[in-house]
Amino acid sequence: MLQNVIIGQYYPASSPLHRMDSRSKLIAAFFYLFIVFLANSWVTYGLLVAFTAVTITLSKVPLRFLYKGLKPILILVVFTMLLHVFLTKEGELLYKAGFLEIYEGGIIQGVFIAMRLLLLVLMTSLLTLTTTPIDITDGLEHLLGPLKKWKLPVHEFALMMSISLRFIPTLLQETEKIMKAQMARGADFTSGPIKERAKAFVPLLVPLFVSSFKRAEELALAMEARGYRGGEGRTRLRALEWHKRDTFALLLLLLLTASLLLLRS
Amino acid sequence: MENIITVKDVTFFYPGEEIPTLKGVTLDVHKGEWLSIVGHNGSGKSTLAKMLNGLLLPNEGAVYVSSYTTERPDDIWEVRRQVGMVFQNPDNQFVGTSVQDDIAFGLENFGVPRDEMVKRISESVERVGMEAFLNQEPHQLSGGQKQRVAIAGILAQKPSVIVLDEATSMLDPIGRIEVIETVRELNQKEGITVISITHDLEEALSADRVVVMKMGEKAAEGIPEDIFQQRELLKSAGLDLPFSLKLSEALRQQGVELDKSYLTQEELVNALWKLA
Repeated sequence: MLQNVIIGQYYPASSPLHRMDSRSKLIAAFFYLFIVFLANSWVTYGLLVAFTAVTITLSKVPLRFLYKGLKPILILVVFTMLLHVFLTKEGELLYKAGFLEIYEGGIIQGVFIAMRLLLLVLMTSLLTLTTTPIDITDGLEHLLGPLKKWKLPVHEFALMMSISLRFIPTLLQETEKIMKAQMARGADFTSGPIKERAKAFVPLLVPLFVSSFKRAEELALAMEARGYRGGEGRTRLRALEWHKRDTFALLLLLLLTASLLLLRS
Repeated sequence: MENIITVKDVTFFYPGEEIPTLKGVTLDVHKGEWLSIVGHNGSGKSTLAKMLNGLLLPNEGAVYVSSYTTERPDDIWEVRRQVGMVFQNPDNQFVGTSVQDDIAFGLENFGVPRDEMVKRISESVERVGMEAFLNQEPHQLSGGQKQRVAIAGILAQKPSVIVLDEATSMLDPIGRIEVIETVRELNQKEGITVISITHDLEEALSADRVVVMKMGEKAAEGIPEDIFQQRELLKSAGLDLPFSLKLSEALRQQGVELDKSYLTQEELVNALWKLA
């Protein structure tokens, strides 16, 4: 079971998007979060949809992976859409049944909001689908680097992230081992009422916690033995490389922003 | 012979404890030797190991590593670069997300420039025979392989001493041989000093010198042949005699005419087949 665990939702492939620097992808995704709100007409939304569609094609990520990421928020999308359909009272009245009134403006508004949500989620999941968690961590550490001046522990935060990522498979293996050990003693994790099942997890979690603390302590000692003394004066093996395509991608995004500003009504 | 580490009259208490864990321990480690420190649980051997690179500091006495000492805070980092340490649990000392990231960890700490880092990493993985695993993640490696990566991480720092703190006790027999052979080669070919902390006397057999720890004190020190003749001492230190030694003794008691007790299986076999 553990061989198949994918950390995060990274989809390994070789695409222009995969090859982009994690910093430019982070900046782009963040920027995109704001410009989505600029769109307010069919033309501007069309432009955003086209841009997103091209990006998805470039990423070589299969659509069913994207769908998997969208599934949890689909209910939310439908719900907000309906809310807008029923509550916006603008434009022509299209349908009336008792207290229920649907206006033309409501339908348009509902579709726009649904598109906005979908576009946001699609773009952010593209970031995690095409960038490994460790690259995202590196990118964040670089981008947030200037905040060190204000005593923000950026390096410590990044190291914490990368150590957590490194220990996920180890802890999963350990969980499996403890589970088997408890099952051999008659523990039942899979049947019974929810309350009983939740209780069954206590003898799994307690040893896991205890051993995690022990691991943390030993790891800290090993790190110290290897000369760790915080972020100051540290060099790094992982190098991020900013290519022309990264600058190009960001310029493209600026162009999109400009067109949105011009075309919005 | 030139000393690489000198432990001078070291006494150490863990905070809040009345009885010292180390009582006036004095020890010389010669350059290029393989020194085994053996002892039962609680004999202070691991505490002694942690004194050697300043992870713990003595309450009394001092530890010198070549011209540095753990007394001076400025020296600690150089001491830790020179004295690399492999711990017991292979998982809990693997910091990086892949083999090369882990080897780089120590180098990053010491501010080695990136180009130099890349060079040293490829050089040190070769020395432990892990060059095919450079991009592997820790959960894909066996315990023995992880320990070899730990050794590579130390080698990249260009150390003079490698301390194995029970580094083979959690490994299967194959992993144990893997690690011991790797370290032996480094010891013999490159003259790196090895200090191995263990409760396994079989492992101590191949050392140049053995130190026996008992209740926080140095109970004996000498070449393995001499140490292993002192059966009473080893027993009182809570140590289990090597199998070939026990066997040759049992044989002698049964009236088999062996002229002495043999330390290794090979010696014993050679003596046995020559018997008429």
